[in-house]
Amino acid sequence: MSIKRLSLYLLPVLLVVGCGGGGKAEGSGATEQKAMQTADATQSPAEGEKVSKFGIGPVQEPLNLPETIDEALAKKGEEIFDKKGCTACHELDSRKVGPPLRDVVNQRPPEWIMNMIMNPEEMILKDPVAQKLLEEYGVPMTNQNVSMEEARAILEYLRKAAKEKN
Amino acid sequence: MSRRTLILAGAIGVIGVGALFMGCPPKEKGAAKAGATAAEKVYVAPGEYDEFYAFLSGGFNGQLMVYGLPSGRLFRVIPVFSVFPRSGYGYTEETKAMLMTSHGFIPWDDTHHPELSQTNGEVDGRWIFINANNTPRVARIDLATMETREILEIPNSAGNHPSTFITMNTEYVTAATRFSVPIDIQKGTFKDVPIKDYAKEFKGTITFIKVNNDPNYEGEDRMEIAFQILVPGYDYDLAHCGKGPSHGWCFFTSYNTEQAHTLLEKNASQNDKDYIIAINWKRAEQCINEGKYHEFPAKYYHNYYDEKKHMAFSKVGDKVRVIFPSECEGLAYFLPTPKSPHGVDVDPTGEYIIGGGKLSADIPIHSFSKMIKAIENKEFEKVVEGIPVLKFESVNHCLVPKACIGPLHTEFDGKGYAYTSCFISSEIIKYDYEKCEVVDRIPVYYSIGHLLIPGGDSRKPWGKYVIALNKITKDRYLPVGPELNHSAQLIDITGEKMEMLLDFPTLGEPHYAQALHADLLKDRIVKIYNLEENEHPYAVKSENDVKIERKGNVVHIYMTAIRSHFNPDNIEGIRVGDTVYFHVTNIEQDWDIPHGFAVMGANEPNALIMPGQTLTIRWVPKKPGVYPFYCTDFCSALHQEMQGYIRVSPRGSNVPLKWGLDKAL
Repeated sequence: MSIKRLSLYLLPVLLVVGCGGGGKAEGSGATEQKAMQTADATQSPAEGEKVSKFGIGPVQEPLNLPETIDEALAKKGEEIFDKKGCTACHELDSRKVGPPLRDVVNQRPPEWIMNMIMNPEEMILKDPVAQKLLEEYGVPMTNQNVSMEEARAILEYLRKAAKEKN
Repeated sequence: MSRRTLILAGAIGVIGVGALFMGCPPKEKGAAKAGATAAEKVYVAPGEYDEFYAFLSGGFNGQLMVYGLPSGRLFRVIPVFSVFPRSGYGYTEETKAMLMTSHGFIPWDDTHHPELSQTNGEVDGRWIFINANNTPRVARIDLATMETREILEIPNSAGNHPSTFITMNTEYVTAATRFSVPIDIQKGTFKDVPIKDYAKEFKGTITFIKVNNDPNYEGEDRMEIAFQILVPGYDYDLAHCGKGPSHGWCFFTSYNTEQAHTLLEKNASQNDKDYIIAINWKRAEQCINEGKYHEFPAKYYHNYYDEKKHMAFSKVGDKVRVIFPSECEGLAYFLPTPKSPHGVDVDPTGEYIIGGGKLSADIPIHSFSKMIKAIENKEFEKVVEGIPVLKFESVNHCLVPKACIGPLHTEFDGKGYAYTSCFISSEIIKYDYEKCEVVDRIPVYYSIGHLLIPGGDSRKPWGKYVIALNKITKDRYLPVGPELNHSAQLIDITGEKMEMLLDFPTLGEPHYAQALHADLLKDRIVKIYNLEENEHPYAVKSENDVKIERKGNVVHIYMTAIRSHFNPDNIEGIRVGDTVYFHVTNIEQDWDIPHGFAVMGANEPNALIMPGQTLTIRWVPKKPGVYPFYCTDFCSALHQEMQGYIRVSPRGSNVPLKWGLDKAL
């Protein structure tokens, strides 16, 4: 193959690469960032499945939670749960718009729960467990702009709720 | 002649006639030739951002429009002085107060001159001000939310046209009378006098509004009337304030120095020269401090929107300080300027003051330093009502000769060139204003009014584009009936020759416009209102707190909205004769998820509620029955399910007041 011929083959590839590489950076910073997190998450899937154990979102390191409940944090979490509008769709023991949450900490990893709280749009689009929940409940979980600190407090509230039942 | 030949001959005839028409200069329609190169310059790929935000006044629509440049795409309509059924502005209980005046509630006005706030003469991206012409008012819009946050009524005024122009650090915003009026200063009203007594009875006022620039101030009531200056009964038209060496001064054009009160197009066009009035506002501050003013009664509304309470409030002013130029020497001077001047624009250095003599072909440029010298040397022609008239030769830098016909407004590129719009000759001219030499001209379509260069009236323009804001549209777009949207045209000014790039339609009538680089603003835009900070007295932040209260015939419904339900969504126990207030809090905390609320038979439009916000719709049911309410803004996959019912029983009915969600009442 002549060099000229080769360049004809290469050119479209370079163009594509060029466009992809130079793609949208400014203007959609959030999407870009999330896309990178996705890539990270898919590198550590649970064995044998496409499911990422922790889901997709800012929590990618194991939380290593102690057995005991931080009562003050749980109380704060309960307040945030109400204040952030979570009660519009969730109750502990019965199905409202979304699933009941009493046992959620026994059903999913705590990291997954925090990611679902903080990054619901992307979870619904990409995480198989979240997708299955959407199929069952029909209503996508809303993003209520919950911070990492607030999500951690809500998690503690849910951990406490699970313990109280037991 | 065969039939075929006949058709051919006919076709040639048509082409011939067509060609004749095409030969007329205006029919070339500008940039057709520019083609692909021009298209590339204005192309903003899907998902990409524009480089500039542009804010175009809407004239008789009472609004302010936000466009992107260079694409010319419309992003936002900001209601300012006009009610806005789309969002409920001016209709919801929270926003009605914004449009209160001493004449009562006014649903409309005519917006002309937006002005971006500046610090040290540079656009700073905090606020934009705009005037109401008809019932004199000045509004301040917060750029982070792009919502009107404050409206101040101007007493002792009419036709507030030379407004809103600001001083170099936004210390003051200007307002003034286009229409002089028989002000009864002692009473704060207009006198009942014969119109023919115009010259004797009618006066103008120039108002300086002080702006609270304190970044730590949390209130939205930032403007107050500092003082008014009583001036002769001319028509005051436009303004701009000094910068750099001329900081401390503002300049206002005037026409009708003939003091005509009828058929002004003839009777106010007699004098060869009218005046630019130069006001030394630092001197005015001294006179105020020295007590050289009169305090007169005046009733005027000051409305402002509290972003935490999500509600507008009104204060009513009851007096104003008025300075008489004859009692405050050094306050005001007249600069003779040909001929019925319209715009007055100060160059980025602050030295040159360019008047737009709209009936003249020469553009007068005055020199600030010459003006100061002339004042020192008392080079006065005469004194009118305590205001010295400086000699034209003593202040004039030059007349740009035969520049164009009907010059109106001027903007600057920061590279030593001025760009002036010429209404009658439908063109923009570019000239070296120091040398007074025209270097380029470009036709615009048609009859240009204002023009805009981003930052073009500041010390630091972004000299990349000029926008022509044209008054007449005619054949620029597909015809749509007798009424046509005004056209704007984007012109590249980076080269030696101006290059026409793009036409785009506007809303209402854009008069003046302003633009700033998107980097100054886009990362500071507010995306949601924090629900935790919502201090609205009828807000509900949690579904656990929804409730309904009856107080006699008044029913308050504390309601929430979130994808995809209202809580409560079943309500019973309302009676004919009740006045029902739906206080709806959108408890979403995600960007771009507003919910709209509408209830059947409401005599007011929907309320569009932003995340974290509370808005109230008033509803007076007239007949018994069950009526639906629903979300008007498609919010989610289950938006169609976002609905509810409210039951109305006859007057005196015993149906108990009940409400709920997800249960039978």
